[in-house]
Amino acid sequence: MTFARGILVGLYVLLVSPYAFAQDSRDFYAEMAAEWQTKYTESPGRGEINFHVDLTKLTASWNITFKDLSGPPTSIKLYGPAQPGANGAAILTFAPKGSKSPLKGSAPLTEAQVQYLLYGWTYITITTEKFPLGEIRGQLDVRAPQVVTQ
Amino acid sequence: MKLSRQMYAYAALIALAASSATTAQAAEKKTLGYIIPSWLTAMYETKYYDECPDGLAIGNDELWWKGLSPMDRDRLTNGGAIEPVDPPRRPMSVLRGPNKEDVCWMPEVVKDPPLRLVKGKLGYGFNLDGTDDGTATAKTCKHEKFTTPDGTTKVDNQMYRLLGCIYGWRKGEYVESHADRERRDSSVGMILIEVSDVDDEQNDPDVKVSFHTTRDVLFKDATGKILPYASYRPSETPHYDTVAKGKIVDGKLITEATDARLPLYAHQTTGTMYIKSLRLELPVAAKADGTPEMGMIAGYHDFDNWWDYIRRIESVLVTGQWSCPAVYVAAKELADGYPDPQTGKCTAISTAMNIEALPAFIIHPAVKTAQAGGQR
Repeated sequence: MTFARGILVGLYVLLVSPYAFAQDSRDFYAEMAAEWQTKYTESPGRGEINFHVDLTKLTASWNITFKDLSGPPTSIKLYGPAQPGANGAAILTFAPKGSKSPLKGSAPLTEAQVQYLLYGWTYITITTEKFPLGEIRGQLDVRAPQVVTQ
Repeated sequence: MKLSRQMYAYAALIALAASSATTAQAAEKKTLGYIIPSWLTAMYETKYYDECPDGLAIGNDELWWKGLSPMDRDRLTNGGAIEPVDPPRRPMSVLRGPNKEDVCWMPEVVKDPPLRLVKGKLGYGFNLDGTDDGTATAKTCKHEKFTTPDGTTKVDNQMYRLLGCIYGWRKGEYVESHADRERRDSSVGMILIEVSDVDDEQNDPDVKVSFHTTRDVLFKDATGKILPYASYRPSETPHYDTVAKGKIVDGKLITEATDARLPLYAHQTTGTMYIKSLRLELPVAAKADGTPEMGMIAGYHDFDNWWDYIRRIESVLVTGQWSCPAVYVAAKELADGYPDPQTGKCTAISTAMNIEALPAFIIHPAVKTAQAGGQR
């Protein structure tokens, strides 16, 4: 009886409990292009952002690739809070003096920054000398995990 | 013998007195009153949106902006300087039908990406359809069930599945919290609940539960706190008067399902909520410190009635961050109550609302006065 109850409790925790399958991390993704800039920008530049957030440590890690820009990046930053088509403030600087593709790194995040990410209110912009306001931009969106969470 | 006669006389007197007392007790059925100064759609939410693995819903403005050419994106928003909430962007963004139709009033003129829905297993509400697994019945359509965080299974709440991943509908965000504050500030759209024929506040198998709205303003103290034990008169219009059978079990009022019309006031929009098979659960005893008791109202919200509300609050669309066409399509698909006999498609959607109830005196001028809810 006790064993059976144990199995039932275990099943409840696995299948139903709010803690079951709760993700302790989130993945975000964006494609970067000039067309997502709020200011009209003509550039063949392209990029891709894979952004990982560890929710237990409140840290982010990223892998940003880009190509066909008008010149070397002068900055690569995370901005928010802003929806697509709006402008936010820089909240994280990945490469203040520019970088080569791929750009990888990690940094701590604040709770508010994590919430902005989850709202879909953050984007990454790469600036170049020709486009100081930004040459390509990508709005980060949650990449759904393979298994249903919770 | 003489003594015996006296004993009979005393016995008769005692019997008569007892009889009178019983009659008096029988006549002393109580009527309890409550005012509902706050109600919110019941949502189960986690800090990092575990229940929304696909992310939060895509808003109307984003869909509008992405539908423009890059040059128009810049031109119409001044390079993003005109924010989604600012005019003229805000009213313009909803006119994104092929002929500039308002997509909240004509949600079928465009096809948006599917709404991101709640995919968790936990939710609040009642087992409204009586099934274990949400299988279709004569009065319901097939749907998935939730389990409450405390382990109550078989819960129906498709409204939560629909709205739980929309930013503005979540706890503390604009759509619901602002509307709730509006109601408290204006006293418009208040719900009164009157429980009559109460013999025993702990256990009573048969009580009558009436729903009204009030024509009076909320009684508050100097800090704005809504006061318990205030007196309210039901509105003179019988429009909102709904009566349900109920019972009290271990101090909790539980009503049988009844079709109800409840007052609605939100975002400066007035109306009526048509809730079919409405059920109420509410602790009868008022809290000694005067803080509200928490209860729940659940039932099937008539789809057309609900959609009429949604399209009329399109002014909060941007703040709330949803797309009317996506919500419309998803709501139609998730509707789980009252199938149309012709099409078989369900015409109502299961929902649950957390309510706060304060004891109140309900005054029926020249008729009767209800006592405030019992004290602990």
